[in-house]
Amino acid sequence: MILSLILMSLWTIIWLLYLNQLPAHRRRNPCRLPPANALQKYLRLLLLPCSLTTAYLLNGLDGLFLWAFTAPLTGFLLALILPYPQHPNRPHRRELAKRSQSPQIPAMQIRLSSLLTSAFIVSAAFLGLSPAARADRPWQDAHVQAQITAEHELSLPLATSLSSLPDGSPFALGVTGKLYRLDPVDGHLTTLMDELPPITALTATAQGLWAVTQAPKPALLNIAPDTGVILNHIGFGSALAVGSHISALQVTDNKAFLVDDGAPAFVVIDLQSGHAERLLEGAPSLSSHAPLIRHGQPVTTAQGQSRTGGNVHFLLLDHSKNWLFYQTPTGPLYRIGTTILTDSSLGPAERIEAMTNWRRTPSLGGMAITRDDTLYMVDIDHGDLLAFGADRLPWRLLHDDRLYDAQAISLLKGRTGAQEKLAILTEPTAPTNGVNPASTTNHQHLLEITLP
Amino acid sequence: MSPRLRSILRLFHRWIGFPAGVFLFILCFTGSLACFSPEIQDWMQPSTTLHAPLPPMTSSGLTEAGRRLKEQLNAGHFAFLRLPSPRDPVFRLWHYDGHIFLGPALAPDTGLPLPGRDVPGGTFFVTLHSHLYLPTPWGQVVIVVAGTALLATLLTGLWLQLRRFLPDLLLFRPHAARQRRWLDLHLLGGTLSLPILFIIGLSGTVLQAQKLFQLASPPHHPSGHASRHQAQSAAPLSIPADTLPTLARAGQQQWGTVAEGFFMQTGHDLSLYAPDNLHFCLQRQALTATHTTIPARPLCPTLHSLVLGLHNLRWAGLTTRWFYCLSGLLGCIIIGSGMILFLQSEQNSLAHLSTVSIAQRSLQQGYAALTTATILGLPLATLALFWSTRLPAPSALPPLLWEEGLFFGLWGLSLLHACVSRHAATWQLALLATLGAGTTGLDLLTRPFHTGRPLLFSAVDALATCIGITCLSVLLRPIHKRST
Repeated sequence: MILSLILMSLWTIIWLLYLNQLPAHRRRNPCRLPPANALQKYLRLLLLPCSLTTAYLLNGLDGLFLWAFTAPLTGFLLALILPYPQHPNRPHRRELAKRSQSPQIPAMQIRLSSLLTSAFIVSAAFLGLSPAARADRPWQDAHVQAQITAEHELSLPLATSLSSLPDGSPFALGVTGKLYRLDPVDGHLTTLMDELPPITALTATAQGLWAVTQAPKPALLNIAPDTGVILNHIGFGSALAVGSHISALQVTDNKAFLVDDGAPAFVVIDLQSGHAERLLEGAPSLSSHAPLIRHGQPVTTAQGQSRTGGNVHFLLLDHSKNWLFYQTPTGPLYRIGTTILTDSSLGPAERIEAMTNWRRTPSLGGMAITRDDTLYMVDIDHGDLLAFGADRLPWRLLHDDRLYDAQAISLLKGRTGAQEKLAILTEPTAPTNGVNPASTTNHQHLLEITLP
Repeated sequence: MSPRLRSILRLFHRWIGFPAGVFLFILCFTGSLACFSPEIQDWMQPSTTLHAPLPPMTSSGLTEAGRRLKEQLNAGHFAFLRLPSPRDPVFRLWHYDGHIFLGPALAPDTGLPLPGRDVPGGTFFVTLHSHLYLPTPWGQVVIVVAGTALLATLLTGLWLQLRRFLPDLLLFRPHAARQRRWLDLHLLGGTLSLPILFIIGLSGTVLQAQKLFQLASPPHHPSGHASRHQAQSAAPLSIPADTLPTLARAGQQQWGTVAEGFFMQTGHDLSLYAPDNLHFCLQRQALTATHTTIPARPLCPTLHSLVLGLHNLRWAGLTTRWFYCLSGLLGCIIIGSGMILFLQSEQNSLAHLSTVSIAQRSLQQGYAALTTATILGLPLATLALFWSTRLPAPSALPPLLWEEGLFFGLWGLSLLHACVSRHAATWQLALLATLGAGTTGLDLLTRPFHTGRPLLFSAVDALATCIGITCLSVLLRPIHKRST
């Protein structure tokens, strides 16, 4: 009996050390040991023969069998008993409740103290009971509203894609796939480089511009933002399917994440090796399941049928580069961990499970994210500018009729002071549907909005 | 792994696993109970557990028990006398009725019969485990097929999970969706106890296969060789009165203990067989009046004895046997969860169809009924058997027939009930909860309060209560969910 208790304790230590070395999103360990290191690894490996020898010395053959039987049973009990930490991909209601209390979520600080763990579980359970945290709160008018400070008419037709560098310089794509630098002062468009192949999606990061070209050969390009020189060129391999159309992309230090709205899927490209992989093909959250509503009316096709929002269109990366937010034009907004997409040991079922419904949204004309992980969305159903931050409080920042026609949104650094600004691209108002026929033009507009 | 290979493996895993799972669940469950066969016997016959302190075996007791053995042998019953041991502190004058061991329990100090009637006892589960109560070759055939299916299922399961074997070793997500939760439980148990399941499954299959080979080609006996049965029917046995105590002393010297050893007739002699728990490998060494010492033999004389030692673990201490029993129950959890997963995936596949034919629906109902009868029906029948040994039998029936009939009848009824009713599982869970939770009360009411083995009774009662509470919590869960 004593030997079995010793063995179970040793196995518990071995299992806890094993859990501790798993990546955070797989860890089921309530006692955060010091971060996994070589010492722990050797200790874990050493404990196996040590426990086996102890068992044999103390109880002979009986001990060996006891050693073998206690291993799975201890592991099984541990897995059932250990409190399941809030899975980073799943905003469990307790976590949501906790978030609504504090704007910054501390990483799960777990010490080798059951007291703290119990306190956390009890408090989380207590908070989980509050009903308000479970539901999507309604959008509410912000106390201080945003303002449209400028409007420029654009000389060239642009695609529905805007992106800006961390310093705030915006870039836009022409309908022919041409890359333009956009002057936010007067809305003037400057061609970046004439020789670039036609581009279908664009994002601007600290490493320069990243663009996707689908003709003549699909590739991911890294373009210098000042000269337009192609710095890097990565092929897609077989990661595209028939009918693929990359609608948005985000890039971290070593991976590029792309969404395909032609044949709904994620494409993940390793920037070092150039290996491209197609994931979550046809997952339900990558397609719209509702009609696209603009100005309270379903948008119809030429045949008079309601248009759905199509497939996944928006993709944003949070500041920590751990989370991707994505959605179709009709919502809802989903979130998935970047590690979920890059961890090759995960299967499709687990990835689908990690696609977390983050919030319902109305039909959107654009979405952008700031450094503090606040999402700005243009609601084309009601003509509003919405903000949804890490505190999960939904604010309506502005209502303007021009926002019904929004096509894209991007952040702009304030030209004066630290105030942040947004640029919103609006399409020309259709003459037949125009509210105010006087303002009907054939040109797109760029609205500059100052945030409160 | 390519999706095609994965789907093929999955197909094999599911369609081999589910039909074999029915038998494997029975084998795991009864195997776990068989680890404590003498203890179950004592629970069912509380009068044989005596009062504390337990009296030791005496020479006069042994002589008296030997006299009774001789009577039985002379009357033509092929009986044997098992000696008292700490696990079962009485003489057992047993004979084999074709399925189980039956016979009176004799007091270790006087050799006189103790009150109490025959019960199916622990050997009932041993028999169920070793040939499923089926006629001789068929039981073995079914078990060999089920054992092979277990190995195939384990291998396909391992292959399917190979890439995530280590990263997901301790993965269990209690808040996940129902099917994911069951899958986690299935994988958690399966991956952790894979080596043990493999060894137990392989050794069990090998043992049964050996039996089948023996049945197919029986060993050739030279002419003039008499089997034990032929020998005992030839002439009355003449045993001097002091043979048994003398042999017991010789056995004590030879092996250090004779507890759990047994006296059995071989030819015209009475032999004392060594206890089964003496060595890792089963060695049926025997002393006779003419050969009171035997030369030392190799530790494992044959492969059969090695496999037997590995599978039966008779040599193991109490703690190891407990863990072995728990590993068997873990096997039940793995197989049960696998069957539930199979059921859910079949249900899901039906849910995607626009029209479901009556045949498909009744097939699905059949799968559900099989699962219910296996996972709930067997424990239910087992608990009912435990209860029936403590309660009076209907006067029209012999108690033994009634108890065995109740076990199989209830099990069959559970299947029938699950076939005709959609809510069978709930009702059977409720009955299981009632029987499990009530076992302690029944035990205290139907046995003398003071007993020589209080831990034995508390352990069985506690296990039954655990089953009852588990069933009750499963039953109350939807109500609890609704209230929160």
